[in-house]
Amino acid sequence: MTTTTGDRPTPPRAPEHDPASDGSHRPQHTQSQVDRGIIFRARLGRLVTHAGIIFGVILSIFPFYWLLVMSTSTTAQIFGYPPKLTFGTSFGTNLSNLLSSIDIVSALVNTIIVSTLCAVLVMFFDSLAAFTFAKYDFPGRTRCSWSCWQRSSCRGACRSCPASSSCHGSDGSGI
Amino acid sequence: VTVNPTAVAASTDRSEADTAVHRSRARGFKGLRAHWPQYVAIAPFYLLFAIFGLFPIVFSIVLSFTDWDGMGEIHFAGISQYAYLIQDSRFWNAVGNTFIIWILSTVPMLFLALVIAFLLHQNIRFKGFYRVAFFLPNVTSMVAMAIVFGSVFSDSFGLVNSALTALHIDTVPWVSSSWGIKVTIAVMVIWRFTGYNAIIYLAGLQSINTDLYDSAKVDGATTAQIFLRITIPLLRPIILFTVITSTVGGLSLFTEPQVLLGNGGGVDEAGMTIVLYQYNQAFTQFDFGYGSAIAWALFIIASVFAIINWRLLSDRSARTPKDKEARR
Repeated sequence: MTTTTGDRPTPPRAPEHDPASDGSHRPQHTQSQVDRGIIFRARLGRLVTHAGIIFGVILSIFPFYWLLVMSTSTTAQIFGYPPKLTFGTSFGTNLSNLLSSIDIVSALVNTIIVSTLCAVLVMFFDSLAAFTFAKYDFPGRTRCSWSCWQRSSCRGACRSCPASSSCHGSDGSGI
Repeated sequence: VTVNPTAVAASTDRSEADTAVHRSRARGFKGLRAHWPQYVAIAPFYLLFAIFGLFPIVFSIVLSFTDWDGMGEIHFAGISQYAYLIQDSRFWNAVGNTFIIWILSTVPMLFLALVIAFLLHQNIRFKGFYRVAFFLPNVTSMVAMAIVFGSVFSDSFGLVNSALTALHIDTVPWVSSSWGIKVTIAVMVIWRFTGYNAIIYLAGLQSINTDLYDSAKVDGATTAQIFLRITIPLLRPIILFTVITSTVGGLSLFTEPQVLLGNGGGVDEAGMTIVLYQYNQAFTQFDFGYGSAIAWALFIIASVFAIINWRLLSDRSARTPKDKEARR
């Protein structure tokens, strides 16, 4: 129904150049009928495209929405039948429960410190190494950059290696 | 006799490279010392890799031949860990689970990703928004999303079972039956990585020259023919890339079953994957020797797949006999 370049209704064309036709000859149709057919098919194609994409977007966004809904509902509402799919009114209670049970603020601060440090250090070491490889020539340059590159390209594969699979992302360098 | 210009160019390149190598060798130790700032600049990567990459790998080889609880003395145990591994039904169960979940997740995921990429490649509005929406799951922590999936697939009153009840269909024990667990984990993987793969496919689609489509249309090709004869062959390297990354990801599946089912792997260990079993043995049973042995068994399995993938990749780009002749 749809092609990669998009079924734009093309201005008057001979039937045999109709991109939507399957090459079969349709002599009994007049020009305007054919045009209308092309426009109809193009519209239908766009409709199907949009419907498909929006369906996919709903599926991929729904868990986020559900997380928000759950944060405003009580447990009974979440697991009740029929489930309540809209926002509840218990957000305040849930939040105060959270704040009283764990020190969420310092946990957030810790997260921010760690992620900032991580980003800054990775940027620093990476640009240092990349600049050196790009701008200077020194003995062993090719071999070193090759090994660096190899390491990064098989970082995913190295996950399955014993070392890192048990402590994910142990190489803070991220290189 | 015709002279192949590429062969000539290649040989000149090589001789230049050779002289460069000789030059740098001639510089020797002096050269190394003169370039110390460069070595310092690249050193952090190698230091970090040595400490957090190389050492644990080597140490785990050693550990896999020992018996160690993580604190006491390390006893040498020969190949007994591996001998036990081969007849450990729990391990083979984990291998089977990993492969079932891998197939259940990878096949629909890559298919859906291709469809989404195809749809996103049309001339439509809000493209940027759609792309972000599809990519969003990939940058989310799976640990946070485990709560969502836990409640959506909950046995008694999860959303899916509520929907099934509303439709008067029998409910499915998603997190307490063998297949339910596998499907749930696969859905989590699909949800998280479909968008990522779709974006990669989209980049591939965008790199295909539109002239090819236009000329195919002029020649009277149908949409299906265009897709099968032009899009798919030109996307082949990208499809292989996604297959490789999902193979690696599927074999090292850990987070999803761990956050959903805990360290035990669920009912009858139906959600026990290889890495989860390794984690279970090393960090809950404190049997580091056996954990390392499992890790290396996984490494061997992964290597087999890496070789298969590599063969698939290099098939097309393999040198033709003509090229070989030119090289002589």
